[in-house]
Amino acid sequence: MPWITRLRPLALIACLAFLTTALSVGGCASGAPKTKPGQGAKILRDGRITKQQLDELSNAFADRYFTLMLSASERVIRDNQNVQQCRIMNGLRLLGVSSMYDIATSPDILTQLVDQLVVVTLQNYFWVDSGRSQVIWGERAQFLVENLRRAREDIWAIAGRVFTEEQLNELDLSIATWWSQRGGTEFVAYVRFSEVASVKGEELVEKVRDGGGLLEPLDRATEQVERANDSADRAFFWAKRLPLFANWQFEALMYDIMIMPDTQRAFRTTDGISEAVAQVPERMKLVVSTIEGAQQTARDVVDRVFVRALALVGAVFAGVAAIIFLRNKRKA
Amino acid sequence: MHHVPAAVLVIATAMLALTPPSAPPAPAAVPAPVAVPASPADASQDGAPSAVEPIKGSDLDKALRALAATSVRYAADVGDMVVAFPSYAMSSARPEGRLNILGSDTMGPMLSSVGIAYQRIHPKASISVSQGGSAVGLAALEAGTCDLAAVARVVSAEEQARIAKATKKQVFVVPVAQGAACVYINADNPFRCITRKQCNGLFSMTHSMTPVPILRWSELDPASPLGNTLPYLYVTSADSGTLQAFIDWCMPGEQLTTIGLYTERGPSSVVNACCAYRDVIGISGYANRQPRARALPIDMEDGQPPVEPSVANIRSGAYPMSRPLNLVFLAPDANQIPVNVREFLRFVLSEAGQDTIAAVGNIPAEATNLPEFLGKPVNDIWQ
Repeated sequence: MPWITRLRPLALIACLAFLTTALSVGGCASGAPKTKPGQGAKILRDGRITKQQLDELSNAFADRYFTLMLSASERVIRDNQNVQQCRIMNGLRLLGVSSMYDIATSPDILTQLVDQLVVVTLQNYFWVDSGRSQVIWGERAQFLVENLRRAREDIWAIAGRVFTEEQLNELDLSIATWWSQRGGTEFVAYVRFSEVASVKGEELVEKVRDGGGLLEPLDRATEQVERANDSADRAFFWAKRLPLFANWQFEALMYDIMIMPDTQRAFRTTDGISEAVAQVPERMKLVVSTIEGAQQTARDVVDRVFVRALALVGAVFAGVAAIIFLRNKRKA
Repeated sequence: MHHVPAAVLVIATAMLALTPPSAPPAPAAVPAPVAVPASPADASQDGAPSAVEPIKGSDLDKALRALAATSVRYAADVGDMVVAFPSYAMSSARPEGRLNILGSDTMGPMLSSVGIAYQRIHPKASISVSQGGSAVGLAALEAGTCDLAAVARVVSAEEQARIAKATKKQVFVVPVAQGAACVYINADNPFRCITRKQCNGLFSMTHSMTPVPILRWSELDPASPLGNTLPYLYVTSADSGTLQAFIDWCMPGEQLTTIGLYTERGPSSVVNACCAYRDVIGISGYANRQPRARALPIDMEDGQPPVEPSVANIRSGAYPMSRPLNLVFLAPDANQIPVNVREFLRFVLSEAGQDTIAAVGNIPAEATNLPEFLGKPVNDIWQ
């Protein structure tokens, strides 16, 4: 077992918090003061938005998407006796929301935006336009399709603050072309822009990165250092939301058990009730082991994020130490 | 002030030293293990476990299979139209370099797909497709910033004359597919068909064909379950050829209303709004049709049944908003057409090109009407 997994998550988070606080008190390697939440609201003189603003918008969109999916899924699942419908809905929200948070915590803000754009647009093609939602959930689907559409409107509005009209048209065309050639692709929540984009699309993003859009130019020289600073924030962002996924994962397991043919059969016959009761201990063993598995996975995620953040922080401090050493040597 | 970072540096360095060297580099966030479905058999449908094959023989299974069958956008009656085109064989000319196509949003995915297929045959050629609207494409062609303009409407004789005069070149208009502007509503909306006057009353600011603007669903259909709800109107940008075809049909020379009007990024987004919202009316291309959006038949008010936007009606012109999807280019004359333009057009007007066009939901062009300046196919083969 890796040494890090022996530490409790709370201890890890406390340690991370300490490092982050120390960093913000002592200044960072880039020499610029770390932007506090809300400071990103300043608008550049030429109307461009800042990196911090975009980062805040991306995180806010991920949370907004979560809210939209949660409210829509509750409408489908609440008082619904159809286990299959509940199971599919739970799977949709589990993968959709986790994908959105995965994107929001990726290190490159521009990739975050285009990935969110791709996922939400493709989800609309797959779940809204095709009629699949209505086939599966009937009348209950209406709230979901409206919320997915709202998510699409929101993310394109955010993109409108970063890309020019011409660039938005390019993005729209890239996604539409990809979909027209792969209509019916099922794993839309985990499709990323790198897969959808033609060479032209990738050129477009690089152009925006260099200031050829409405986003302030990203300084490639300091980008790595800034990513190191952001890693702790990202670890916190994920850690705060992990318990939610554990709950949904448990629900997924529950639906899986309920949909099993023998469970279904047991529920259908009077004699089967005793059979079902007899199977409870075995089922519970499965539930317990899976919950343990989910918890372990959650711990692993935190640990891995923590180790990476720690490595980056260490690298930054090593750089600072080198600078101090060189400065002192020069003075001497 | 320097005490804290120094202390942290010591701690961080010490902890880093403790990190096993074999520890794999971890991604910033790894949610996948949490989100993976419980069993591999469930890994389908974007988080919808077993949505395609939920339980064998179940109603849901049957319904999804039926949906998949109806979602096939390549109509059977289009197959015969495609095979009527000549095959494409590489000529001695080897097109190279970049060919820039700019224009219609409706034609964008279609031309991108054709471009991808063409580049497989001619790896040294590069087809760059950009969208922004038919009007944008024509303006770029006139300015010399693109090689081909994609125009999803009729290019009038006046427009051709103006461009020819400005550029001192001949204007060539090549119909590569057929399409139509359609009036879309939500599939659950029971509204049956729409008239030209109703479109004018809904979309025109000056509503020249109706005494008052139409602002309620009940004014379109007294029995509408949407009652006094405002019909929200979704259109693409003013540069869109599809929107222009609609305007030319029901409100020529009139301004679009501003009441409840939403301008969308592209034609697929207009149809998506119609799929999601029940009280919406959208104008988009025939190729953008989706199962959850219904293209309304047009009541010509001539005592005949309403005209459906079907392949047959669009090809025959019986559907009033039928229009050709054109590629437009400039050349000094028919003998001096650039090689890369000629080869690309030959490919577009071949069986392979038209098959790609049909596969993305469009109606093929007329095979009996191939432009003479592309040469004559020999033994039904472009060469």
